[in-house]
Amino acid sequence: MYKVVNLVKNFDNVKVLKKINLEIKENEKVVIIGPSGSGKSTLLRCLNLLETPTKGYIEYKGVKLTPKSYKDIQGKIGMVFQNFCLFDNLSVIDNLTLAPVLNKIMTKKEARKQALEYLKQIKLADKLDAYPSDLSGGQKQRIAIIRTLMMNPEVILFDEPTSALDPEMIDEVLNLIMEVAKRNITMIVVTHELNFAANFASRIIFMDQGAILEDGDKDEVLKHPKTERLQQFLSKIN
Amino acid sequence: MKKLILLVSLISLIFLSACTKNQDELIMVTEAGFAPYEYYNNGEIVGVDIDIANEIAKELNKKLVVKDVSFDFVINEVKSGKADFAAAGISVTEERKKEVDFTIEYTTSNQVVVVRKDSPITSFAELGDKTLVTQLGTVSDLYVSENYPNANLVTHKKYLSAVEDVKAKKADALIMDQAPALEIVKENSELKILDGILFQDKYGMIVKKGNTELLNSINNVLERLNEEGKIEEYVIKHLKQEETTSSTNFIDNFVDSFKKTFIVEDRYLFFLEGLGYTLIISFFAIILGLFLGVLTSVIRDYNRETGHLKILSKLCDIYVYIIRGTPTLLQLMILYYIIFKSFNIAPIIIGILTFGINSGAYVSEIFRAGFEGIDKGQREASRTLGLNYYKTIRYVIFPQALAKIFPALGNEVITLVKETSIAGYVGIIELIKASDIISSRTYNYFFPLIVSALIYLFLTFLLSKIMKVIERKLNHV
Repeated sequence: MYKVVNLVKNFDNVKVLKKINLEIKENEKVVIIGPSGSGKSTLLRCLNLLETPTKGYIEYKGVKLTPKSYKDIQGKIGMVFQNFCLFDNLSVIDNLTLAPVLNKIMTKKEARKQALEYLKQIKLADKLDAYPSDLSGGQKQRIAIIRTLMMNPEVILFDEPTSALDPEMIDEVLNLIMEVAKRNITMIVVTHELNFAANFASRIIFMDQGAILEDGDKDEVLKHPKTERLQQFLSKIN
Repeated sequence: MKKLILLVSLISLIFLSACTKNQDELIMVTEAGFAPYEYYNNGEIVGVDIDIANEIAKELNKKLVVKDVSFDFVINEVKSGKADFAAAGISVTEERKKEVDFTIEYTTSNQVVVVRKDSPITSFAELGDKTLVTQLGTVSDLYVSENYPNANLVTHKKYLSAVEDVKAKKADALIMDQAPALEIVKENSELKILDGILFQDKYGMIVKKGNTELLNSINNVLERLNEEGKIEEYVIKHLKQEETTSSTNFIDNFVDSFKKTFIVEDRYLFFLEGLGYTLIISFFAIILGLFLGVLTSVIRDYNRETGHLKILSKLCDIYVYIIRGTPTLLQLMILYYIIFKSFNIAPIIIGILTFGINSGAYVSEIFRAGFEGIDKGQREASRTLGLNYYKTIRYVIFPQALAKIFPALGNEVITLVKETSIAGYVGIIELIKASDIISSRTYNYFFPLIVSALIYLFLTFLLSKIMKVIERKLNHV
């Protein structure tokens, strides 16, 4: 699905990503962990060109990602943000139907039907006409997740989806992500929730200082860390 | 794109239809606040100069059109060819001869000194170290600077505001033409005219330099009228006949002012006309301003987001920079006298253009701030959902920015409405010009101005109420 080749990203003179090489297969469920400033969010944001690589390149399904080629796959790479990023000017139902209707994936009617179905599944059907400002953080993030699903994505990138939530709301969001994982969608999640990672992931990547230090099966990485940095990191988190 | 082309062609069509200069018209320019030479009567400009001009038009077999602008713009109108000739009680001076060609002198004006009744000044000799007021660009202005070099000279755009200076003891004496001065002391019981005539002055009409054909025709008519004694007849005919009361009772005074401002000669019609033009100019200027503002702010935003349209975006920056950095009045004059110099476009269209282009720059900045104030995540989310730049702006960023900046936008609209008050400079009868016209007839400076102020206040009150309603709707609660 993804092939990252010699990816370098600098912000001014700060080297955030140092020659990353990575392959991700279709339908893989990947969790990226690592301390703050390790470059994991930046890596994620390069995967849909929210950040432009300084050097190196990324292939998506065999095609090099450029602003031009990205246009053809727009909407196929969904993203869930730390701050939800629901459209503040639109009601819940409009948030959900705007993109699929404008991109002509569905008619207005079909989109509304699909949106209602998703809303029922997450038990927020009564919030149909509410505005984002009326919702709790957990509700917002769950709606943001089904908003990406509305576009029938092949990949969803999760950028610390629970970091901005109150503790009691974290589970409802993680449970929904677990639900989504049953689908045939490639998922890449940046998170600090190790328990969730252990349940959800098929593969875990550990990053530090702009480089990938460990990459492998979740049990291998979580239970038998090879590097000292990962051992330190795990002991601090637990 | 098609819509844009349609819009552009529509606008050019309006221009072209307004541009065709009528060869059958003879355009005279003046400032109609100088009775008995030129003044408004029942909504029409009349006076000695107009009577003469009618004779000239008859001679040339053309239809006379009289244009009313600010006195300091009169010479410019002729120089730029916007008017064929000017008759506005223009004194013949060497300086002016360099700019335009004068006709023969057709009337003599006596310049007198107006002082307060309780003033210690009794003779012209005492004026030397006093504060003297005159109207800007008139011959008395030149006379004082030459003959009383030690006096403190203050020049006013209107001699009626100069009158107020003397009344309020801000100035000691006013130097002006005798005919209107007589009207002024009749109207203001606290003022008098010093005995004697300070100096005499000759008035001529002016044409564009080198236009000898028209010059000769006017001279012929002037000579003939002089021989027939017609000009003196005109002066007598136009000396003011309106009854005056000088009561000290406040209520009587108020009723009298009210009558004179509104009822006599149906003068309230000037306010209606002024209100009408103020509204028309404001309305179309707001629409043009919003269009230009949104367009330029989106171009600049597009450049910031994508790096494309670099040159266009730079041009938009320059537009905003220049417009915000220069006074509106200057922009109005540049558009009127330089850019549209050789087009005979209705002043109201130039007014709309000026205020629209001016407002567009401010609206552009307001929207820029609005766009930049929207959280970056909104654009990113939209992008990851496959929406392109246009759709992101149209459905996500613009509506949010609009709600945020609406109070600032409302402010700009109110500013624009008030700013249209300078349109009178190019002869548009908006509210302030309307009050000027009325005060030039009633010799009461403040009453009509306060009426205009109240109308503005009402307008802006109404506008802010409307804005509030829309604002509430935009915030969807």
